[in-house]
Amino acid sequence: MSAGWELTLKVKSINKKWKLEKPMTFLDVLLFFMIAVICFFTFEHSDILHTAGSSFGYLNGHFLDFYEYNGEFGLYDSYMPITYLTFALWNIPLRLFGIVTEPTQVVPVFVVMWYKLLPVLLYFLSGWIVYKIALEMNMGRKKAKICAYAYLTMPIGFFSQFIFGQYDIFTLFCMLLGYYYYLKGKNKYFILFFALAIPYKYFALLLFVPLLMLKEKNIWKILKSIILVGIPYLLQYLLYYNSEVFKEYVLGFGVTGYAFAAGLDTGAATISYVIVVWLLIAAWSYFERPDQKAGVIKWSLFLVGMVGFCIFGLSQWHPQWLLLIVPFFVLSAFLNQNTKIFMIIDILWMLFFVLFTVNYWYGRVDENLILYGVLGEKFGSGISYKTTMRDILILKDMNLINSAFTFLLLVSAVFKHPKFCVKEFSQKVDDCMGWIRARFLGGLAIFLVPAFLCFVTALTPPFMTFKTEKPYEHISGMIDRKVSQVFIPQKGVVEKIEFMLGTFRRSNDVTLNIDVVDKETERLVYHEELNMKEYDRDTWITLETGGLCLSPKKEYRIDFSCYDAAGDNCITLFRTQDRKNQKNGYVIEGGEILPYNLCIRIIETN
Amino acid sequence: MIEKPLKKIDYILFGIIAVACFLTFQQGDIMHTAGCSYGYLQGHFLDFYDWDANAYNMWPSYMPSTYLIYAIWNIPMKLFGIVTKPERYAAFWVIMWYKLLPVSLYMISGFLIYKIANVIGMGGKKAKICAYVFLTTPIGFFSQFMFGQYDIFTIFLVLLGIYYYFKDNKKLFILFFALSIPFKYFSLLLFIPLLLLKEKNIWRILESTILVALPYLLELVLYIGSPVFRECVLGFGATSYVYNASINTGSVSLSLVIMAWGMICAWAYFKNLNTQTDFAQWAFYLCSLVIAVIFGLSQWHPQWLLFAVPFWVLGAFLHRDTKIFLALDLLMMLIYIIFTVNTWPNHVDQELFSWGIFGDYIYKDIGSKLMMRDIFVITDMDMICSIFTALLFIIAAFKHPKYCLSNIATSVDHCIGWIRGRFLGGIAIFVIPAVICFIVAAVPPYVSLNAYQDLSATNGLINSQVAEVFTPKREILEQIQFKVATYQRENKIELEINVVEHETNHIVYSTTIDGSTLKDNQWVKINTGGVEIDPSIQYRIDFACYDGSANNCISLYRTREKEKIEKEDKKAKPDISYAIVEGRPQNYDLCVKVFERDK
Repeated sequence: MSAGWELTLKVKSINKKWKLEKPMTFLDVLLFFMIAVICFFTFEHSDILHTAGSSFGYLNGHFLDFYEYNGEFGLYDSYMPITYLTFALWNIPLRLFGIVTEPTQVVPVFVVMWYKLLPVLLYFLSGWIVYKIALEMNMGRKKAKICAYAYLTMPIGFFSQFIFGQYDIFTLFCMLLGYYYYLKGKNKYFILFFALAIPYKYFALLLFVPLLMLKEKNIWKILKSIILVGIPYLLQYLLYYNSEVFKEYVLGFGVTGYAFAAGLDTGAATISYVIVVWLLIAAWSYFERPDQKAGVIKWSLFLVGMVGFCIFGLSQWHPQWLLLIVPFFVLSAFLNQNTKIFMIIDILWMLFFVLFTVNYWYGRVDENLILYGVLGEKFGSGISYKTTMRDILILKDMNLINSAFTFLLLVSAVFKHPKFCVKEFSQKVDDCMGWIRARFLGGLAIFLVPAFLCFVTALTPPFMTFKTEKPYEHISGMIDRKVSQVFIPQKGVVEKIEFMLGTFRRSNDVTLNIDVVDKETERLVYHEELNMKEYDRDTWITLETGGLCLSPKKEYRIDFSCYDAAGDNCITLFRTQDRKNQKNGYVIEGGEILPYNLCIRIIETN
Repeated sequence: MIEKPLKKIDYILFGIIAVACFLTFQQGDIMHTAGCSYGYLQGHFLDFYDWDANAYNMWPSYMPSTYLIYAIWNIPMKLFGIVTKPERYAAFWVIMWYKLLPVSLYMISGFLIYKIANVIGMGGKKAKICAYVFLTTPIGFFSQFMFGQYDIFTIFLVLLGIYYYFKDNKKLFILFFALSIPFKYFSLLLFIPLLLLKEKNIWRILESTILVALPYLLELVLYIGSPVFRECVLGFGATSYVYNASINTGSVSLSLVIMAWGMICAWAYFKNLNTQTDFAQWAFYLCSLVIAVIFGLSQWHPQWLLFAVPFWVLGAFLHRDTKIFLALDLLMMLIYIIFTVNTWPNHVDQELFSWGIFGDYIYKDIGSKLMMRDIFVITDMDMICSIFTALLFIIAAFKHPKYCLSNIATSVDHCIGWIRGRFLGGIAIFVIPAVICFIVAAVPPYVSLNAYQDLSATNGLINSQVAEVFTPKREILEQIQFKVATYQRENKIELEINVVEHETNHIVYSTTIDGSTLKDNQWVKINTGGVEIDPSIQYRIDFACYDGSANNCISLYRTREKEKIEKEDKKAKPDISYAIVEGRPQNYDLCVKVFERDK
């Protein structure tokens, strides 16, 4: 028996064991898991550190004063309590074993992976629910499995979960359960799971109302269901309404205002396209009366798709949010007469999604996602110093990119109208398997290949070894004043020091003295005087130090001082937000250690 | 003849509430319009506009039809010598006389709705319910009995036109629309699609369009020589509202209202119909779309919405789900009132009491101690307007004939609960908060300054002071309130507050507040214990802080620039308060409220 034949038999036996049916094979599953595991460990966004880190407030017994308590640790939480409660439950082992004992964003990488594991597990479970929903739709086992696989491998969803690593899946998981029971005709569970989903992300309410009104035409029952679905949200709202931090950060969370950005100025007010279109969709669902279950399925997916277009096509979005509509777009594609074209559109969709993301969240949601993965330690404070994904992907015209993205959303939504659907939901999609695979591999490659290139170039010197967070505010005028930033060199030879200068929008004829001093011995190792007259706008200043040799792992101080300024002729420096537990650097002024950094970058070679 | 499900009590309730609102609420515009009409009664026909403007400083802004109608109505006033010349203000019973004319036409319009409903085949019983629903539509009822305007002149004629439209009497259809256009131009926007729906011959369309414009043209030709007519009537700003919502192509802005209306007209032309039912369904569908376009895509004034009411109601009665539109009417009323009381604060809100029968109890000045907008809480007009526009389009789009009844006479008896709930609930949305405001206003202390709408915080008070200048209206200063920003921190500073006579700097009241007790965005209340002040002079409230630093200071909130406020509300009362910041008078207020009472 040849080796090839043996391998074929082995694959066949595994296929049988896993109950995989052609055209899906064990290799498809293996490939998915391999890439998922690699991405799981390699990429992560920092938001989860804040959110999961905040949850320890609950584990420290601060239930009603949760938001205030976390504020003491510099963590100002902007989600409703349910997200933190979910993470609190998940983090009980960390707290019990004393690995993390207080709200913090500074945790080892394995803790980050622990945090990430929860949403990833829910992502897999969601795949199973998609399978159950597909079965409920009478797609048949085989097609339902392919549908679930197409959901799990949908590039934008995969990116959101394994690369960006956020927790929108909490909402989606509850919504999918709600939708499953909606199709099963179990109204109570439909309301229950949507009610649970809403406090995670309000988006769920925007799907709930049209879905409800598609089935329910009695006004009182509609009102009752809407009240019921709002109860968990209202309960949390009432529990925390007295908290100032809650009011400011949760109720004042700016992103809910995105819905008003795209609007029509009528003179009296600006009419939000999102609100108008969404209400029209909701009304459409009320006036539409599908007579059979198949009609409900087709119309519900079509209307949900339209809501998806309305929210993400007509207002600003964050990359992780798109996950919320992925299963509905996949399910509706599988009911369409032409499933294949939507698999192709998904690749294009991913292309414009990545282009938009790496350009709009430049320095955050791009190659920088590697920094919070297991390889992040290698890059100290920066990976973007030499090459960035946006440079590699070239296209930077955001209007064009976003127009294309919105257009693709619209196409993906509109052409799922019930009249374009198959009559028999179990109609085969075997011929789409090639495109499903290409969509997964090709779609991910759009992000992974440029990210990998950035990774490789960042491994060669010089390195950005110290980089503080984004500018928060200026430190007020530098008038007869000295402010110092402490840092620890990583490589030994400082090539450049960059800092952010504030000018108060004028040209200031003052001299800024910059001294690098050994903090322990007070020995001056570098001195520079810069005249500030040429700068009249806030800007990053680069100081070429010409290869300043310092001892790695030892603390140094950069002293910024200015002694010839006045009230209307002075510069300032920018600082980061207050953070407790500053590990790598901090500011000293008047002998006092302050809980923030100046906005500084240090570039070193070995 | 009252037929079930309508009962005698329904009519009695309507009558009682209508009379109560008729007497209690009124807006001031009617005094200007009806007051202007005496120019005609003084014999100034061709120089009407110039005479009113030059002799009485009253600047009419409507076409002559409106003033002529009022002139005829006011003949008894002139004959009995109650009012003999154009006057801006009028006594209560004179206002009620003015108001009686549009209210009578409103009631007759209800009868016309009944007639139209009958003509299109609803049958007597359903037609009566339809007329009742028209009369009790909250927005229409508010427009007529509370706001008390005269848009009903247009509607009355339009309804007559529509009645003859369905009676296939083209001449009278054109005639009544022609008469309505000089009252308000809206009717032309309905006339064209209605005409095109029936008439496909281009020459006849042109002929009808010319005929319908004749009365307007006649009035235009008669008065075009008048500079006041040209400035105030032809230059009336509201007609340009249709250009606000547009698509900028780079070279010009394409008006969405004009484009959408044009498309509706074209749709009407290309639609070929046969039966009376089809005509009724398409006519009301297209009219509803026109209404959605003109009120949904451009700015509107509260009383204009009355124009839409007959079409909403008749359209709903042709629909297979009448009930949902009755429920939506309630929602519409809520959004409409929130928009109105926020967009026209101290004008179209609790202020409507001022010209009603109880106006004298509050000295024709209800003040702003508690405003209806405070009760409704929501002040985000973008959201409110978005919802309103969406509702307008929902009410129009889903009245497409495919959603309509095949048998127009299908009973709507099961909707009677919603019809009653819609009337009582809808009216309560305005009346209850208005009454609460009235009660609050009727007890001292009274608000004399209410700069409540914050725009942003002023610069931090670091070794500096800001001030608010105001003129009292009563003799005792009871309380001062102001809004502070603490930057979400505890500031260890002392805030000094002095009330001084602005000219002499003589201190009449002084206090200090520990800055660490202040909360971010808090309205701080200071009870002065009753300081005597002189309403004939200006006072200044100085807020000073002689310590503080960048990270340890508070600041006060300020309002928007005043020009903007005045532009939005030209009829706002003259404001004599202002802030002083960095030693210079500013064109805005600090967010300060001053409460006073009589001695």
